[in-house]
Amino acid sequence: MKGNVMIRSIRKYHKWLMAFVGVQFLFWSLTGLYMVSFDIHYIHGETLVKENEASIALSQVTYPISELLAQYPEAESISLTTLIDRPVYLFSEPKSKPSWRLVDAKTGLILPVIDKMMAIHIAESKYSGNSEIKSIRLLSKSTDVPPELSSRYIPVWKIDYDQFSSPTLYISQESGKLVTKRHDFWRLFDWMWRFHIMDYDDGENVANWFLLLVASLGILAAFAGAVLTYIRVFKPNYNEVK
Amino acid sequence: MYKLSKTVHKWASLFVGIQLLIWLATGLYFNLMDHEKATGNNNRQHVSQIGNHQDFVFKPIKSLGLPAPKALNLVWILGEPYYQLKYELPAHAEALQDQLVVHAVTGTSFQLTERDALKIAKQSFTGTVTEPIISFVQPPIDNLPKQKTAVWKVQLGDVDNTEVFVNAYTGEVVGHFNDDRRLRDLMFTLHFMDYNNQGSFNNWWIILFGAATFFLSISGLIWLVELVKSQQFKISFHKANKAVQLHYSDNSKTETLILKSNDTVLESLAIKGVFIPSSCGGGGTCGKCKFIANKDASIWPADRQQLSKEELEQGYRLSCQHNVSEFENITLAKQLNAKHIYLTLVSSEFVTPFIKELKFEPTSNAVLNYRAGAYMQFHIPASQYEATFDDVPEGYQSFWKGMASQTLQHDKIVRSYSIVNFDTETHQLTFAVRWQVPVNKIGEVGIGSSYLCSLSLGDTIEATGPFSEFYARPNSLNRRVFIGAGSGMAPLRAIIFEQFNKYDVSNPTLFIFGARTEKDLLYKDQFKKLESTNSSFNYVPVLSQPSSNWQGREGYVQDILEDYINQDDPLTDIEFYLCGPAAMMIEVENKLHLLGIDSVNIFKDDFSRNSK
Ligand SMILES: Cc1cc2nc3c(=O)[nH]c(=O)nc-3n(C[C@H](O)[C@H](O)[C@H](O)COP(=O)(O)OP(=O)(O)OC[C@H]3O[C@@H](n4cnc5c(N)ncnc54)[C@H](O)[C@@H]3O)c2cc1C
Ligand code: FES
Repeated sequence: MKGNVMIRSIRKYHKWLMAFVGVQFLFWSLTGLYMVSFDIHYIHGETLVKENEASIALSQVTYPISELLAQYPEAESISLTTLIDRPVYLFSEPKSKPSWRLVDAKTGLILPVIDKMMAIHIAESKYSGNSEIKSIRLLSKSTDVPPELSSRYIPVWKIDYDQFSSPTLYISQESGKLVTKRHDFWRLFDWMWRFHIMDYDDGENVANWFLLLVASLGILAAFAGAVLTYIRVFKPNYNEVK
Repeated sequence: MYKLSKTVHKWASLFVGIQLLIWLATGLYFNLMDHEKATGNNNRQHVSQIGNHQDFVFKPIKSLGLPAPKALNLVWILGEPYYQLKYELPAHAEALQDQLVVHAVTGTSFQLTERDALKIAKQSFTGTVTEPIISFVQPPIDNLPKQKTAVWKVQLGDVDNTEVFVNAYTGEVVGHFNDDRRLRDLMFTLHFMDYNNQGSFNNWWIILFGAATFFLSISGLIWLVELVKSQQFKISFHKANKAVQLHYSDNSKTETLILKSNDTVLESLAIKGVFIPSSCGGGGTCGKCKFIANKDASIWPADRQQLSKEELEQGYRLSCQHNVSEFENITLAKQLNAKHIYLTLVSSEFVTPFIKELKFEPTSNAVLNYRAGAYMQFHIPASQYEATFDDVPEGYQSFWKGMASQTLQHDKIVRSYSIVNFDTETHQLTFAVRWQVPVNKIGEVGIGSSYLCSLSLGDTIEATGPFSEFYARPNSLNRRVFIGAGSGMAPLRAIIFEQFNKYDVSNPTLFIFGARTEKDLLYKDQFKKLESTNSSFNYVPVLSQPSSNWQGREGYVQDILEDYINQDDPLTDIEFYLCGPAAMMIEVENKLHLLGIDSVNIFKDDFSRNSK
């Protein structure tokens, strides 16, 4: 009899707690399932860009790094890369504006910031798909920045492709670099994440009290459920009352 | 859907089980952890390694004489300049493998020395270093599953057990790992089910468990919706009482009872001493606890499963499924004089190889009046004991060969047993309990029958009853045919003897009793005697496995039936009373239908109702 009373109250706890937090279990499993089932590299849009970058045409690098340093003594984070198909130096001058600069590695001439044509050109050279560009826009004010982009990347060219997952490439106006990319699978992933951690505004804060409350009640409810399962499966002779 | 969701819920929860608790616990940890500390970087600082470029004469990149890279960086390590030539540009820096690092002045290839690694590690740390231990580690690296190049690992010997990893080719500090960070990483491993340490959550295990958790949640929600629909979610802050009118349809009596609103009709009436039969203990699976509510009372899934359409339309519902709060009026089919009593065992004897005759004495002086064919519900208490089979008499031991004693453990259950005698025959209650033994002697014996058959003389047990659902049609002059087998004997014997010895009837009566062997012919002598003293009564035992000396009928009851019916007068004037194993009852009933017997003239006592 004692056992029965105990089971009955455990069942009652399980039932009532789950009435409050049960739906979140469904959300957790659905969103979790989405997040783990898609390869995170795919989510991060790694398949949106081509893998094979060309090697630097070293023979064209006639402007040596020593001269670059003599001309721009404040230069930091210097690298030599390829922009479209010419070798360029890319470096930052933290104290000046714009902070990233591009210098032609053949002539030593400073390159202007990336204009629209150039941005399209860069995007086309990186994009692995074959759909058309739907729109291109320069984002230069922090108020322009969509939530999916960090404002530290501005000024940046936003290039949207006309494809079912709506891919977007972001190309820095100063450095010509592909700073980040997005497609709907990633955007959806971010929403899944928000629902998973129950932070519905910006999805940045795992330490929110709502999650704390629901997870705590959820643990109690799951424990009660575990006891019920144990009894149902391993002690089938317990007389079940409802 | 409802039943399926219950099954899915049970098995999914068993499968997901511990991992679900791990997910919740680690999730809660992420919610509560100190996010700063958990990065492992609370004693980390950034120290610029940049030297003064005017002190160096840079070798032009063109003249390094090395293959052209895809990208080249100028990196500074402890104030010295180096060229890092990258031959691949992986999406994640830690995956970079194909690279060369050369001194930017001399062009000689570079690898970080132990001394320099130690220096960099110490610079990056603001805490107190005691005795650092340094080692060179090749990937795969436990803490850094995605790192593809070798690193120097520096254990700083501080209170937090910090380990600093320095890239052996670029001098970059790859990470600080201390106890906080290791705890966090362990939590991630558990949450992501990354038990192979791939450093990611894309693995088949988590997908499988995630899918199972999805089914668990969905089935749980369906269940919840059903519960809400069946109004089992009424919030009750206090156990309110309620006045309810109780009617009986067999007489016009009405009484007013004060019942607990939030208890089931079954429970709350039992508290008042009104016992409705129930074999499944309120589980909604036996269908015995029905009562008449009203025609538009809500219908729950269990009602629909156990009651016929006609019954539902007439307002019948299961009393174990409905709360008192739903009703103002409750009607029971007949006034029951069932009581809650205690019975003391006074005799226990094997009467066939597997049937024990048990005689009980009611402990109070309760006078029990009942129609023969009634049964008692025994409340078998929760117990744990060793069932031994050592009081089997010599003559029956061959039937029990191979049966080993076994430990039984169970919670409280309810089991019904028919009373073998009629009320004025004796004040004792006699039962014939078949000990439920698995056919091949392997597996568990029945818990209710074992408990009763294992009782010692003088033991007491709780019981409710008697309940009359199976009895002889009163004031009838019809011919009667009783058909039974096994322990189905009990109610049939009671009725036959009640009719002849209490009411002195003279209805032509035939009793066909099926058994296996001569030894299974329960109460043979009593029936032989009745047959010889009463010309209206005929006893026909039929054996399926008789010995060679057997003179009587052979086969199964359903096979010999027609021999006793065909030649008869109008079929509507015969009553049939059936009790025995489920399979026998079904076959006999089918046969009777074939012979043109109407269902209204067939009375059945179904023993298998509580094992559904
Ligand atoms: C109104 C009524 C009157 C009854 N009268 C009697 C009676 O006079 N004598 C008597 O011996 N039994 C009678 N029974 C059956 C009795 O109530 C139990 O169902 C039976 O003893 C088995 O219970 P258990 O706890 O021992 O077996 P359980 O532990 O419930 O089951 C053990 C095994 O036996 C099987 N089993 C369960 N019940 C039966 C059954 N009835 N027939 C065959 N196999 C079964 C199960 O499927 C299982 O394999 C009556 C039942 C009802 C509903
Ligand atoms: S007690 Fe209600 S169905 Fe069994």
